[in-house]
Formats: sequence, C-alpha cells, structure tokens
Amino acid sequence: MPKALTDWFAGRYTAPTNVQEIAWRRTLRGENTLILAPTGSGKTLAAFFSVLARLGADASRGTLPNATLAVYVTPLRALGRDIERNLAEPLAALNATLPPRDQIRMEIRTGDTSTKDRSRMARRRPHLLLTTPESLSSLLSQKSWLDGLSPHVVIVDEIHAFAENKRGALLGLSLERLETRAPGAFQRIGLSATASPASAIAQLLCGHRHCAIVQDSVRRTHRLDLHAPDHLPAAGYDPGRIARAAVETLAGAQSTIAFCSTRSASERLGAALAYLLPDDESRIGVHHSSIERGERELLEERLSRGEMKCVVCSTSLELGVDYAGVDQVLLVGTPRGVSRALQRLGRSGHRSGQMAYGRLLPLSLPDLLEAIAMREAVRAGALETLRVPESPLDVLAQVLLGMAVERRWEIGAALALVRRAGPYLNLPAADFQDVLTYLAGGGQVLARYGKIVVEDGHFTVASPKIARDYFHGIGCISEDFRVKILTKNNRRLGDVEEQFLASLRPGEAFLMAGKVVEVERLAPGVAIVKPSNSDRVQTPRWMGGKMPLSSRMAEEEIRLRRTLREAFSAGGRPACEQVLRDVFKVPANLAAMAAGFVERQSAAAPIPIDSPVQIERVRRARQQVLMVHSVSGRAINQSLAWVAAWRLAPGESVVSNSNDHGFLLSLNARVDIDETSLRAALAPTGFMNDLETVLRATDTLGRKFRNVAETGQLIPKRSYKGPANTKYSSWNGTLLYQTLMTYEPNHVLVRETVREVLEDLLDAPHALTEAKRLHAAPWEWFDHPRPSPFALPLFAAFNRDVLLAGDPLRAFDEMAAQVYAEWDPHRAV
Amino acid sequence: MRFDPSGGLWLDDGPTLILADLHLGYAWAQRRRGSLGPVVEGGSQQRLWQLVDSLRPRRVVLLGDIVHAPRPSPDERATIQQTLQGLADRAELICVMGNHDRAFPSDFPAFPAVSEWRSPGVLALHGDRLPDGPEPGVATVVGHFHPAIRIKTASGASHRLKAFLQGGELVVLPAFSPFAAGTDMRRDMPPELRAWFGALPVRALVTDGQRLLPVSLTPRPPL
Repeated sequence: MPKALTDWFAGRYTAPTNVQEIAWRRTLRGENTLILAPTGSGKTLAAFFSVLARLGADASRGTLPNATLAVYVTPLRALGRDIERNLAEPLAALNATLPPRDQIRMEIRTGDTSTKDRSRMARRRPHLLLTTPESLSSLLSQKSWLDGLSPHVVIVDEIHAFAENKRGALLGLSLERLETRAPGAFQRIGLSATASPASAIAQLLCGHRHCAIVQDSVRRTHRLDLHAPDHLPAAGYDPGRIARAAVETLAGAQSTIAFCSTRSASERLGAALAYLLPDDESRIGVHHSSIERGERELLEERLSRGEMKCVVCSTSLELGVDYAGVDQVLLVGTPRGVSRALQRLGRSGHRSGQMAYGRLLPLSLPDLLEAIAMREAVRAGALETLRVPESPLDVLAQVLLGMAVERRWEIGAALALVRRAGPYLNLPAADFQDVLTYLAGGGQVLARYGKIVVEDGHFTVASPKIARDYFHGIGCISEDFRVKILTKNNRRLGDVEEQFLASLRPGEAFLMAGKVVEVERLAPGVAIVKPSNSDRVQTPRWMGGKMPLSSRMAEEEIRLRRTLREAFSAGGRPACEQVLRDVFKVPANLAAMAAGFVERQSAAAPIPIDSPVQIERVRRARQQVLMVHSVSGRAINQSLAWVAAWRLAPGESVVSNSNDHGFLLSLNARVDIDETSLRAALAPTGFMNDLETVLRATDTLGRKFRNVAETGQLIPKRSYKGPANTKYSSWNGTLLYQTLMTYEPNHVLVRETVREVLEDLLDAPHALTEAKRLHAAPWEWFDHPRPSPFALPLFAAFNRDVLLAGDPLRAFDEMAAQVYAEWDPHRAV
Repeated sequence: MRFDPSGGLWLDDGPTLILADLHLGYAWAQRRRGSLGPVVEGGSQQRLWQLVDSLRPRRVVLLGDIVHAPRPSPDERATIQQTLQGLADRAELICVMGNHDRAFPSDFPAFPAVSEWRSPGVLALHGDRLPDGPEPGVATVVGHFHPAIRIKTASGASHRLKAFLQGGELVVLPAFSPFAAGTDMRRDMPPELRAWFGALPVRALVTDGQRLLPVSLTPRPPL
C-alpha cells in the first residue's frame, strides 16, 4: 500500500465510509466484487482504491510498463470526465512521489476523443483507461491497441444501466475478450445502484465466476411528498397548471432537478418555468440527450456550482456525478418504476446530513392514485426484478465480426469465450453456428460475399475494407434520422428527428434546448435556425421508449384500489378520504381530490381490482368497445390485446389499444361477444403461438427489425441525407424485412427480432401468466352508456385519432372532462 | 396512353408497353456493396414475362435503371441475361439507359441500348436528365423518381403505394422493381419535378398491383 496514497486519503477524509471499508476488504485481495451503493456514498474510491494502490506500488518499484493495466467502463461519456476529475487528486498525490519516467498515466478514450489525443495515447499508453462499452469494443479489434493491453482489473460503473438492454450484452462479451488479454489474474469490480436481484448484476459482470456482493448497510433516508395543482383533470394533463404547480415546489428549495417523462415534456416545462419565473430565467435550464453535449456540459457545471434554480430533464440526469447543491428532486408525473423513482430521488441531498428529498406532481386524477401507490412503494423500498435480454444474436454477430477483425479464431475457442459472458451462458451452439454462417454470407450454394471467411474450423475477416467498415457500425443504439440543429454562428444546439422537421409548417417555430427557434434553411443532415418570435411553437417529438409499469408498482396500485373499494362500499366518500389520510398519509387536499375521483367512478362501477376482473362495454352506433381492466403494465396488456383481438373476430377488423391499466378492443357492434367468448379469447392454451402469429402480421416486427439489422451488421447505420436526396444506398428497412420473411423466415436476425419483441418488449412469458389468471378469475361485467372514469385515459387516447380539432390536446381534455362530468352522481338529471 | 396496374404505360402505337426502373440484380448488388441481406431475384423475371404474355405488346421499352449495378457476378449476370432474353423473345425490346446503366452496353452487349426513344407524340427517357420543358405536342415519359404515396389506414398502419404522376405533359412511371420502396411524393417531391410541374395540376394514381386509384397530392392536415 503506497504511503502517498494512504497519506492523501487521511489528509482528505476523516475515515473511510462504510461501503469503502467493506469493499476494500474484497478488492484489495483481488476478488471479483460487486459494490451496491447509491451515489454519494464514496463509491468511486470504494472501487478505485485497490487499483490506485497497485498502480502506485508497481510504479514505485519501477515496474510500470508502457501498457494499459486497468480499464474503467461507464455508460455515459460525461461520467468518464467526472471520474477523471475525482481521480486527478489521488493520482497527483501518487505521482508527486514518483520519478518523471515512472508517472502513472490516466486517459479518457471515447467516440469524442480527438485524433491528436488518440495518437498520443498510442505512443504513451494510459495505465488507467476510462472508456465506454462501444469504444472498448472498438479498441479490442485494433491490433495497435491490443499490443499495449495487459489488464489486471476492470471497473464497470453504473452497471444497472446496462443490465436491461443490449449494451449489457455488448459489455459482457467485451469483458470476456478483455480477459483474454490479461497476462495473469483478472479482477472485475462493478458499481451499481441497488438492484434486484443483485445476483443478476453479478452474473452480468462475472458470468459463472465467483463474485462477492457488497452492500452499503447505511441506508440513506429519503422522503417523497405529494404535491398537486388545485385541479386535476380526469385524463390527459394540463401543461399550464402543471407548470404553475411546479413553480410552487421550486419556492422552498435552493436547487431542483425536475424529471419529466419525455424530452418533449422537459422542453415544454422548461420553457413554461422560464416564462413564469422571469427573474430566475437564466437559472432555469433544459437537459436531455438530444441537446448538444457542450450545452449540457455548461448546464452540468452550473448545476455543480449551485447556480441553477431548476434543471428540467427527461432521464439524462438520472445517472452521474453528485451535484452537491441539489436539495430537491421534482418528479413530474409518476415515474415508471420504484427503482427509477429511488434512483431519481437519490440525485438530491448530497450535502452531509441531508436526506434525499423529492416531490411528486401527479398529472391527472388517475395519475394521483398511481402517485399514492408509488409513494407507498418508495417507502417500502422494494424494487423491480431485473430482466436481462437472453443471448441477443444481433450483438453476437457484431462482436463475432469484431473478433474476426481482431485476428483468426478457432471456432471452438470463440464459442467457449462467448459462453463465459453473463448474457450468453445459455447460448445454444446451433445459434452460434447460425450467426457464423450468416456472417460468412448465408451458407447457400454459391459464393455469397460474406463478411467473414470460415474454413478449417477457423474464421477471420473477409477483407480489409470490411474491417474498416466494421468500425463505423459499432454499438446498439439505432435512431431514426437525426438532423443537427445549428445556429447561424455554427453553434450546435442538439438534434431533432427528421420527421418532426418535415411536419413543421412555414412560420412555425419549435423549442430546442429551451430556446424558441425557426428553421432558416436546410442542408443535408443539418438545419440552420434563427431565434423566432412566432406564436406557433411546436415541441419536437423524440422517439424514446416509454417504460411500462413494473409488476412491483402494479402490486401497490392494486392494493390501494382494493383498500379504496372496500372503504367506499363501507362508508362512501368520507371513508375513502379518511383511509387516504390515516393509512396512506396523503395530505388533506389531495385526499379530497382522490376520494372525489373514487366517488365519480363508483357511480359507474366499483373501482376495478384484480379479482373480480372488471370488464366494461360501451356501445355507440355501429361500434362496440370492450375494456378489460388489468393493472399489469402496458407490455403485458399489449400482448393480451393482440391475442384477444385476433381470436375474437377472425376476418373482422378489431382495433385494439392498451396502457398500463388495461386494454380495449373495438369492433363491429353486430359481432356477438359475451363473457364466454371473451374468456375463451384469453385462454392460455396456444397463447404464445397466437401472439407470435399476430406479431408477424403487425408492423412492430418490421420496425424493430431495422435496429436489429443495423446492430447485427446486415446493413450499415442510416444517416440523414436531406429531403431532396431520397435514393437510399442500402435496403429499405420494411422491404428488407418483408423479403426475409418471404425467403428466409428463420434468419438469425429475424429470430432475434421476434425474441426481442416477445421477451424484452412484450414480456410474453408474464403475459401468458396474466392470461391464465384472467381466464380463470371471476369477472364482473358492466354495460355503460359511456366509458367509466377509470377507463377514460385508455378510451380518450384511443379516440385521439378521430378528433377533429385545431388543438388536439385541448379537444382531448375537453372530451374527457365532458364524459367525466356526466358521471357526477350529484348532477341534476 | 393508358396506365397499367403493373406500373407500366401502354401506348396504342405498336402497341408498346413501357416499364421503368427494373433494377435487375438489386439484391446481388447490395451484397457486393457490403450488406449481408438476402440474395434473391424477387420474382421480377416471372412477373415481366407473365405481364408481356397477358398484354401482348409488340414492343417493350425498358425506361432506364434496367440493372442496379455494373459488373455483375456470374449468377447475377446469368439471371439478368435470361430475363432480358425472355423479353426479347416475346417482343421487340428497346433498352433506354438510366443512371444505373452506365456499364450496361459492356455488361450486356447482346441488348443494344439507347439514350431515349421516340414515337409519335411521345418522348421516353430515363429522367435523370430532364429536358428544360415539354416539346410542343409531345408527352414526355420518364421513370427514375420512383413515385409513391403514403396511405394511412383506419387502424393506423401506413403503406407506401407506388404511383403514377401526370401533369404538364410529363408522365412519371413508378419503379417496377419489388425492391424500390418509392419516394412519397406528398412529402418529398424532388425539386426537378416541382420545377417542371410548377403551378399546373398534377394527377396521381396509386396502384396495388391490381387496381388504380386516384389520390390527391396534397396531404390532409395533420391532427
């Protein structure tokens, strides 16, 4: 243990934190260690201390080679910069005691690294390399880098952020490749927020190898309060009211991070806050992933200096360094999951002695009930179960190609390596072989221009050109056409999707990074904008995925609904109010609102719960709409809706829609549906087959397929070429998919798309479980003249397409309000 | 002059069938460029031969982008050769060159290629180089632009359907190739066509392979 390091630590801190102590006991012994701790617990040093100690020891013995010995991997480039800052001090302390030729070097290497810096790193290798999974994957195929790679340890940060998507698969395979470069023992250290089950994270990090799991026993206290505007609509939401309520929450805090559900919503709220708080306008900012990095960095710096009153974001500030000045988190709308809510809450209160504090602003009456359930869930602290994608074949194709670029591989050795990676432990050998055959060109009779050459039980890359092209296509995130937004001074604001720009009419402006701008002219891939005074301002829509309700949250919601249903049947509205105040600790004004909502619903039917299952039907003119109330999350409800629709009326057109709380089916009124036929439509027998059949008929698979095809190296990544140039140089995504479905329906990438949609997107296994439950449970069936209040959100969203109105959002709310009013039990008839 | 749901233009003079943008060899060409997509012929050969067998024109004009890429691989060359020969066996075959056909004369010398074709009242060329404007009394027929219209159905699904465009003495044929998705003329009409049409009315007819339907070129206002 280098004295310089311990001296530095002692000088800087009075004592190690709890998590540092328990972590060091493992890491200093060279054990694989997973450190579960919220941010602000001294995580960085918990992970790095042993690494710095070893580097320091080697350096003082003069045995530090010109090679990379330690690798740090983070999901966010920004995190890399912050780690660099945090480590600069202890490194400087070590280096101060070392001769000039034995200095420890640390460098960041990501997609942003300049060519100049890259060349420098090639000559003078960083001993400690900070990078991202995509960059790591790229480096592992570059011979020039591999020569200088002799790692004995890897640290993976925010590993929970990788776990549930394909970046985790890429990471897992890269860790195995990295280990093959280790001259001796190879240690893996992981940092993660608390997640459940921790063993899933440990498996992602270490595969079958032993991994010590270390958990911070110091529980950070957190508190989540509910806050609402004076009026909540029955469906949809009112941005003006939300903004005014948000302003109220900002008053008592120094610095707030506000989380919205989408990037568009964050732009809207940011603009509204700036408008409502003109004196604080310069201290309000908008932060999301489509905003230019430079702009985001400026905001982050100001946030860490405590200069910002409020930064509004979607998810971009969920991960990352702690901002000491932030004393409050505002959740605008209930977040989709307890883990997410806890993670967001944890972004506040990092000054010593403070707790994590947040306020939840529900957007509507249904959202209010969810917010109450969320608060219960947060209090209980129980988390969602992680689901790691199982052996994704598109990522495998990408990595096998990368390995082929790296060198010639013996097939058996490559298979063994892949199967050591956590996400691929159960990879069938046949799937591995299929991917190789696909990469080799398809294995059909004649020479087919493959990317790899397979012969004599070995494979390698087919040509230098393919090797060069490979480096452009690394990564898993595929987006629709993006257009860069530049000001006239060439300052980049961020990017928007090409479809959005195409939808703007002349004279219409839009919000970007908190500014109102108008397009001045377009060039390929770029839109030059100028500030605008237009009163017609649109908010860009970015196609981010919306997370469905987690099963944990569903349990809490059902529990709340059951309690309220019993309370109402026992003592009506006052009983509900009382139980909300006493048992759920809801403030009086919100309890009154929620109880009023319950009363309004009860005029139609008792609150829908899990058993009996509530079905409601509304007949209008020639249509009948059936709604099944199932609090299972959108993914499961989507699956149920599709299968039911397909089974109920073969040959008829059935339109379905679903959300977190149920699904609806709209069909011709003359189709005879009753409890028997609807139950049969939810029968578990043949459910999975039918789901796959329906899936193949919709365009969901086609849309997903393009991402899979790009990740899987079938087609290059798309880039926007401007509206005039429409001759795409590669396959059209839909046509490619249709051609494969006709000629090669069992293609590896088609199989992967089906797997991804069924397992990761639709949660098909759990949908089957829910179908089984619905099929067997008792039902209560109601025929209504109009949708019940609890059905309104789903019904109103469904009708959005047919509304004819100048402002669709307002018309939607008006319609919902109208229907809601008609259920008023006190209304004169 | 008559539009055929196959995407072809029928002229009574001949009679002649004009087809545009076959892009034969498309899938092979993509492979040669480095994609790993399927290598399939796509059914063009059968469709072409059956179409000519049923309509029985005396003359077939292929209006450019007959092949997709130069220097075909052996099976690609053999298939294209066979397809074109089958057409030549059934009718007089005229090959008008397009921007993808620069090597056509050397790759397929058996089929003489020209840069444009004329018939009384008709000038047919590929369309990558449009004349400045119409000749008096002459309808200009082109391919090249792969016109299509995106239609949204009641259930929310949307499809891009191939379309004919007609306006200002210009006829634009849709692409015959099954691998041409088409460009939505409501959203992305190329400036060259816009310049030609100017303020004149433009007629659009979509085809699903069986029927033709007129549609408006101005999209409904978005909600």
